[in-house]
Amino acid sequence: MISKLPLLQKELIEYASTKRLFILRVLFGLCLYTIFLVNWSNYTSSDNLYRVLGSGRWLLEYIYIINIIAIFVILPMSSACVITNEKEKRTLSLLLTTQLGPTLILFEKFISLVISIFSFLLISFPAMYLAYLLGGLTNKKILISLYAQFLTVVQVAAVGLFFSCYCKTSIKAIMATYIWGFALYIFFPFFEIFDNVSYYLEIVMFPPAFYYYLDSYASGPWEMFAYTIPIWISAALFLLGARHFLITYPQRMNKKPMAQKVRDDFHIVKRKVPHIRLPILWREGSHSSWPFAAKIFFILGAVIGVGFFGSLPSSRGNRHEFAMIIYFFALAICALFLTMRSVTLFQREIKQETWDVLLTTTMTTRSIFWQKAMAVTRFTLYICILLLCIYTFNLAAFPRSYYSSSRLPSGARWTYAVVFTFLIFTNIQWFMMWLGLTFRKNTKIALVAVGLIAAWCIMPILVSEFAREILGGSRSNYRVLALFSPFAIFIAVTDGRIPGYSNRMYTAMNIGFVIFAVQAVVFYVAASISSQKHIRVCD
Amino acid sequence: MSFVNIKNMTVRYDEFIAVHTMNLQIPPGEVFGFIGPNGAGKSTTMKVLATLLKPQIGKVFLDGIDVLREPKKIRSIIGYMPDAFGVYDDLSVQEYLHFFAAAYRIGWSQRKKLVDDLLALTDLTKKKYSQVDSLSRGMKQRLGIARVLLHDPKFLILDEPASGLDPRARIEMRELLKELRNMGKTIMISSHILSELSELCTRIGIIEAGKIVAEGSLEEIYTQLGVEKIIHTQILNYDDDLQVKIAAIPGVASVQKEQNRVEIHIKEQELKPEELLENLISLKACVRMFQPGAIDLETVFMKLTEGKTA
Ligand SMILES: Nc1ncnc2c1ncn2[C@@H]1O[C@H](COP(=O)(O)OP(=O)(O)OP(=O)(O)O)[C@@H](O)[C@H]1O
Ligand SMILES: [Mg+2]
Repeated sequence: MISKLPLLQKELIEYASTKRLFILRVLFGLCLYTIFLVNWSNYTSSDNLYRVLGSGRWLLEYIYIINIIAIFVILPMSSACVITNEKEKRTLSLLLTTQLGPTLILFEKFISLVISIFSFLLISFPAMYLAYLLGGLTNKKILISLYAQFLTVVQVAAVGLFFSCYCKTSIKAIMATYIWGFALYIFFPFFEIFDNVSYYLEIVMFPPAFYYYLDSYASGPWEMFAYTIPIWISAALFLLGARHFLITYPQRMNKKPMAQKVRDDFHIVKRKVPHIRLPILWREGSHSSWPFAAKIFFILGAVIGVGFFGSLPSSRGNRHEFAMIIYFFALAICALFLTMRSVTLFQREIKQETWDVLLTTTMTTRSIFWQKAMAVTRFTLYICILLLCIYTFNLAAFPRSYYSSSRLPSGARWTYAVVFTFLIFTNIQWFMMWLGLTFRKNTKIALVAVGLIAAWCIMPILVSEFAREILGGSRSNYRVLALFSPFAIFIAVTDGRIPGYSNRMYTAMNIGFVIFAVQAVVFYVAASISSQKHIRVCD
Repeated sequence: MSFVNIKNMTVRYDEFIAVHTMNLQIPPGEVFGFIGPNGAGKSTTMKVLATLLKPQIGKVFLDGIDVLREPKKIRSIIGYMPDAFGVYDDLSVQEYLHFFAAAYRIGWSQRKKLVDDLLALTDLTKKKYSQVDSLSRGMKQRLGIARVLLHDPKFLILDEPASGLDPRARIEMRELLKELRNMGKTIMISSHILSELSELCTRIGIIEAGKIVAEGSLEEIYTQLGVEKIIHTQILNYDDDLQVKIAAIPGVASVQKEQNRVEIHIKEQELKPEELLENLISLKACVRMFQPGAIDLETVFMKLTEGKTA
């Protein structure tokens, strides 16, 4: 049967042979089981046997949440690249002229995606089994959790495929898919404020939420399915849209130069003689990053707007949480953009085959590297300022009356926020530039980069938890390990405290500060050494 | 002294040997044509000359400068165009040229005139404000050539510069190369199309599987290989007797009658065409037509390369 689906066969063979997926799976397994074991030992350490026996329910919930997060982190990456990769390799037009036909192409890609993500989720099954043994949950609950995961996969894969067919490059498609995912998280809590509408919308469109209420709402499997019909329909609509854009791709692709010509005639600005001093910096500035930056501005503006108006009708404490969620998403989007931009900084040039030409000019290696680095630094500064504006806005809109006195005063918080925002983004910038330079020939390096960022956020927290489990002792002894994670720092800055620290907060923050500063220097040195080594072969 | 001097150069990609102990000298002022089948190692050799690749073994000198030791000096005297032309799709034609003018640190005041001149030279003036994206393949190629000339390099390395050009552009390209040669530039171009090279080049090198199999001026290669030259003649009093006599002339390889013509194959290093004519007349042949054929490069190529790749 499978030999009748050549694309699927090709993709599966590729999946089987890529080291990257294997490493990602191992990382995922490590995260999952660390969290699982930590919680396991928490729940089973109780003397009350009844409490221990019922705890499978909570463990299942943890596994469920981790799996959903994994789906939302990994799947957009692979699904958004599926068609755009063919576009970038210019094989899509070829593929469309074969006997396969757009529907079959989409179908095969879709199936291969579902299979690849389930190879991740399968890892969690033994943990689920253990949770089941502890009791506290029904068969139905397990089935619902599997069904909800499956639905999430279907939804994200369909959306990713849609953007993959619509967008021209992988990066754009990945961004669009992620932002759609973020929007899902921002918009639905927002609607929740207007009780009736939101509740219904969440039931209808947000599969991860099924886990929590399908149990009580739906009695039989048919009813369960009935509740999820809107999701199936929306996934089908996305796939139909994908099919439409796939079919019209050859036309759209060929139309572009014509449209450009027409535009040129009206475009007076282009006729000016450009005055260029630092060519690479000039090109990065005038041609790729400004529309890009404008997009970020637009997205962040939307985020702030929705967040602000969404938070109006809610109570005070809730509102503060909103502000933080908004800040977090803005931060995440910016981090994602910066990662993509710095890690593909050199690769884009190599892909365009202009790299060789650039290297034979009389510009020094240092100058080439610096101009590239300056372009990204400008971008980093730009998003840092944007983020700090949001932060200030949040701080102003939700004054510190919310905080108890044991937390950081807002002046100190502001200082830390400024310092850490710049530090974290500088870290990301230089680290990703180093990564992109060293592995410039690896076409999937962008995927690896996002995986690494996720691991960087999660791993230190897990390690600190794990260390406490093994070595024992007070939690606060190990918290400093968690400070390696930018996510922990984020909590510290936004929430005004580091969980586990009450009196020694300043010390802890300063340690974190030093850690990140040192890291930034190390990454910077690594990137510049790598530039001397990798940009030119002879110098 | 030769301008390009490659000594015992070996280039490897991991285990794979792309160029094997190559020795090559090109005198200054030549248009050197590099031919060979796909994958022979032409682009690889050119990349080494363009300082983009480091050979594992051997030495490479350009104009007396060591390419591996002093690549910075080399970069200011070479202009390299890769087979993909290396154009930025998102720039306009003039922005593209200004971009590289800035990269070569050409002074502000000269840039505008220089760009306009080069656009005129490559016949792209009409496309000055168009997006590079919207140019045809041949136009992109010409834009690549305009870029190569920006900093007035002594040595041009053009990887398949004529592959996308129409016949007219090809002839113009030939004229352009001649002009550049007259300006004292040394040029290296690669191609698979033999007729193209024989029109453009003063010297050719044939490469196969990473080795130079023949090198020199067209005539030299021709003699070196002992390839026969065909001379088309019409001899009115041709008969078997005469055929025997002609075949007996030293240096004549064979004589064939083709309808109303006689094809005489000669070994040029032994017998020049004009000597053959004298001989024919002394044999009292009544010669109405005597036309030496052009050097048959296809034959040379097919003879030298057996289609094996590196
Ligand atoms: N980056 C690389 N890695 C590994 N092998 C390579 C690489 N680049 C080229 N090769 C190999 O080196 C050999 C020579 O390649 P090269 O590009 O020099 O050939 P060429 O003569 O320019 O061919 P063509 O006429 O097709 O342009 C080929 O067999 C090719 O497979
Ligand atoms: Mg080549």
